Amino acid sequence: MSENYFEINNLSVGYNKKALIEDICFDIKRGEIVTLIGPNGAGKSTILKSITRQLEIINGNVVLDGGNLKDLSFKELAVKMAVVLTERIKTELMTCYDIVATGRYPYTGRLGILSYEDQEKVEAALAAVHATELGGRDFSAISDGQRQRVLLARAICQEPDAIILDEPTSFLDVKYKLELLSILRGMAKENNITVIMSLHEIDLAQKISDKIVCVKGDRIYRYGKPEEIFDEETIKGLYEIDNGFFDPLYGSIELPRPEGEPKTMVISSSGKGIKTYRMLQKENTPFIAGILYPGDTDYQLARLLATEIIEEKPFCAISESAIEKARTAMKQCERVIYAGADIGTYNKEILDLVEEARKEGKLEEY
Amino acid sequence: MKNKRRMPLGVLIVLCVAIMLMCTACGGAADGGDTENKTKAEAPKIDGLTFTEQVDLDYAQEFDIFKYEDGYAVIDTHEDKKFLLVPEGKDVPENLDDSLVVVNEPADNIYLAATASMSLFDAMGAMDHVTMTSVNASGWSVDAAVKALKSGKMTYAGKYNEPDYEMILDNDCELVVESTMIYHNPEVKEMFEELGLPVFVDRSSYESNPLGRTEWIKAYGVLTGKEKEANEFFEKQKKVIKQLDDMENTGKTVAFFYVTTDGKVVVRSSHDYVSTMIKMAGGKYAFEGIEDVAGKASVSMTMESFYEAAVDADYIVYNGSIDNTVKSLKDLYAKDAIFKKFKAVKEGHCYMTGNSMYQRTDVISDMIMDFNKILTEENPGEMEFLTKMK
Amino acid sequence: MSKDNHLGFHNEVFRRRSRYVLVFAILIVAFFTITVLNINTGSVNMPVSNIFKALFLREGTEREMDIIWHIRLPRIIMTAVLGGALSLSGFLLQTFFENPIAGPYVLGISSGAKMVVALTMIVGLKYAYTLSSYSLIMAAFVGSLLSTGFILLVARRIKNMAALLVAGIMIGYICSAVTDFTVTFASDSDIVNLHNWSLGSFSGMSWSNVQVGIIVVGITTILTMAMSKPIGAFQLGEAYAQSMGVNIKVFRILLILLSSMLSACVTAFAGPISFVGIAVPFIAKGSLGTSKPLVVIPGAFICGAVFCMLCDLIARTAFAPVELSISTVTSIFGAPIVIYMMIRKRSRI
Repeated sequence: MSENYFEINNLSVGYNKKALIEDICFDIKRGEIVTLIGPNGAGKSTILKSITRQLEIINGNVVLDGGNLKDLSFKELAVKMAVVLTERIKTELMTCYDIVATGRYPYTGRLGILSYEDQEKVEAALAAVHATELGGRDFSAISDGQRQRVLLARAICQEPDAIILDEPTSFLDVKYKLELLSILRGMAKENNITVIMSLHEIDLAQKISDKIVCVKGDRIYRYGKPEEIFDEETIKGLYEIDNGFFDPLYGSIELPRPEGEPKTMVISSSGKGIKTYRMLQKENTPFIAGILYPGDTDYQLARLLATEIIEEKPFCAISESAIEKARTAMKQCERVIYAGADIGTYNKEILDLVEEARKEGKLEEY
Repeated sequence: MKNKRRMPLGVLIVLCVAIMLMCTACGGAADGGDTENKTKAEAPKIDGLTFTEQVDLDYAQEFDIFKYEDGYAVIDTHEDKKFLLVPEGKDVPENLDDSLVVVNEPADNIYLAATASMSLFDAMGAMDHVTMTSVNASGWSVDAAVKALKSGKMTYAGKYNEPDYEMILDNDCELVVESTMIYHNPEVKEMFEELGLPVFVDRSSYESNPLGRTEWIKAYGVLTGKEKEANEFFEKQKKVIKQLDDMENTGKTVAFFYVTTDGKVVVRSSHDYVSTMIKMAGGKYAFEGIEDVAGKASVSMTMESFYEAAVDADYIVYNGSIDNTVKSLKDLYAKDAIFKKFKAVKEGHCYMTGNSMYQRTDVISDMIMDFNKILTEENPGEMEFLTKMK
Repeated sequence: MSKDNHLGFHNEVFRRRSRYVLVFAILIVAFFTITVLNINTGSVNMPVSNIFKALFLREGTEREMDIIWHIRLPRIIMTAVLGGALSLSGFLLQTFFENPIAGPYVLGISSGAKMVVALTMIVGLKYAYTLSSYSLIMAAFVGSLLSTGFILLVARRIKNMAALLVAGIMIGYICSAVTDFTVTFASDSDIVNLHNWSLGSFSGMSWSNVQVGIIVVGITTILTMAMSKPIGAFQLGEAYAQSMGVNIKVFRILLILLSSMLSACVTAFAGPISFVGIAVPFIAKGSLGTSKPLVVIPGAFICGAVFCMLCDLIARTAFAPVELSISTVTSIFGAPIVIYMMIRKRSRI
């Protein structure tokens, strides 16, 4: 049993024999969570559909558990792989239990009648997604989030080695996004099920995946561990963000900084300035932030939103040059906002700055 | 792998279709191969019966009657089965060939679904032999039929293509008389035969001579035991026509037609009995030589072609039996104003038939006389079948 | 906690099973009632005891035996068999197209049948002089299968369902055009009789018809039951069905073939009969409360049989001895049901 569950070699995928994406090469181990990210229409779904054989592979091959994907019969594939798709399914008079029960199809007999064991597995799958009470309800009468969970239960019920999901969190609100992803993580780590999915929420992708595949243009843009992939430059290039930022540290997305000559200054530390920065950004007021130490929470955000930062080396006393810079800055500003700071032995000078501002009548305090 | 699948499926479908089409053709042909029965028919050999004579027929060509000793007779209507009439009180011969169907003479409780034959029964005085029919009182122009339906002596037993089998069986039907329409509904004929009822198809519409149609009364005479009456009636009809024997053809052209709802004109083919009637009456059919490409009795043409052929016709006769919306010249002009230009209209020689024409097979001779009248008299008086259009 | 859920599930399953049992019981009772009603009804009044004697003891006058065995019984059996076939065919196509108003004739089958029947009647009668009912039946059958063949060829290339529906409609139009062309060379009697044929009728069924009907419909129904597992998978959509192990290409072809055999059989023997295929599966699914094929297939079949027998009874007796065309009656009942169905669907969405 090779270590790799999936081996994707020089794969080309596309529609109508025209390749959309070529030369896809990567390997996936058992129990790994691999996420495809990339802009809309890049071809994430195309790749997933090719892996699940909904779409014909144009070139290259996919090796699954040691065997070529093309050589497997549909039935054999069903035991190895289960899917959760984005498309809305139209069902008539089917309960959630029925839907989940279809996952047992590769295992039931000629007429598809469920054995006692099968029934237990269905119940277990529903329990795993916390949807037990939905069992008897009509599938078309529940919310999108509940539907998604039921479909995941269906995939779990199929007892596959791998689950492929195409944007499974698209219709879900925050609570269910988290729940779904944590279920997936549990399946991967505890049951050794390989998870391959595509996500729009790159912050979530960063946090849950073992490997990331960036899909853009006609190739795989980058492939690797989240730590390797998630830096600002890569994400900016992948999504061609020119109107904001992605902060890989927290996995957060920020709107662009206000443009123009700053006439406002914010003095703060230890995260107290964040609220003010956001408020100024919403006002579209450019500002200067200081005096901040790199590593301070305020610094993290200021570097994205502030036009200029006045900083000092971490854990050092505030130097003269820093104070001078700060005074210069204050002179050109009309407004000085003191958002609060933790004052310690080495940054008493901040209070001086605040006093000066007060004397000049520019101070606003919160 | 996919190509291999595609080939067999396509071939399979084509094969299936081919086989089935062949079966259809065979099935069809096998059932009715004897279209070409123009040579003299032979009297069938029947064990225990001696053939005496074949009945002489003056005009009819689509059936034969063979007489045997002791009153037995065989009627051959050129179909796959022939009818053996067994007189009252006599036995049915043994070892009968499958092609013979036994009818007990006289046939009673007849279900008559051939509207052209009703008048013949009336003419023979055999109306009481017919107790069921396929047309309601409102559809009959034969008075005797209307009377019988109203009095209850005859009942409506369902259309020819959906007969009430139960009622027919329950009324002790002994014979079913159908028109050629039944060919389109073979399952009805088969059902009757399955129930043990003989089905006699009236093929008089295939006769080219109009009197040949009337002559079918002889066959019905044999079936109902009213041969004498039938022969008498037919002789009378022959006499009526005899008047025209010495007549010279007037050479006047007659156009017989009607106009459909979508503006086409339907005329009779030159072999049809109406055209023959006109000829026998001393006229010339305006569409001599016209023939339908499919051999039908009626031919449809555009108003233009009709104009070309009939604008100079001496007489026009409108077929009111099919289209009874035209009752006057005004109605005719409403169909198409071009009629005003027709010679026959300008000379006042326009006539129309009533709706009894098709059903009155008994008095075809009288119909011919009516045609003769309009051709020879400038102002014919009251006629039974033709009315002058005003 | 799980014990409670277990119990909950079992209660649920019990509830559903009892519903199935109830509905099937009602259906079977209805079936027998309607059969008895049909056997008792006809232009000839026969006391019930005589009917029983004729049926079970094979005793009675020749007349009674004829009426019961040659006229009433074959017709009743055929109506039931063909009604079930139509309903099943409709169910299969509705599943296939994921559209609740698809019917057995949506793929152009009745037009194809009418075309070949017209050809046979007009051309055949001209040259071959007489036809047997067998040839007309085969003609309708061949016509149905011809359209099916074209649809299958198209289905190989086209993945999109909507496009397939359009192809079916187009084939219908082409066949109608050919029929109209042929009719220009037809005599008036041909035209009248062709029109009569296309109204559909259960009149005049013989035992040979019944035999063929039972064999064809029986085999096809059994095959359909055998496919209830993939059909159930397909109810989630093609993509999911394939992921569960169903070979979609083969499945689509089989589904079209099965449904076409059923509706071809009906069209061949009784002509095109409308609305049964659309309305009855809806009624069956609604009353059973599920769309599980294992339950709906027999349910729809029996429901279709009962529905058709009821409509035939009305067609025969409403204006006796004039028979209403069966399509008239099925439309009177079926159309409101379909309309109601569409309105309800609207309000859901």
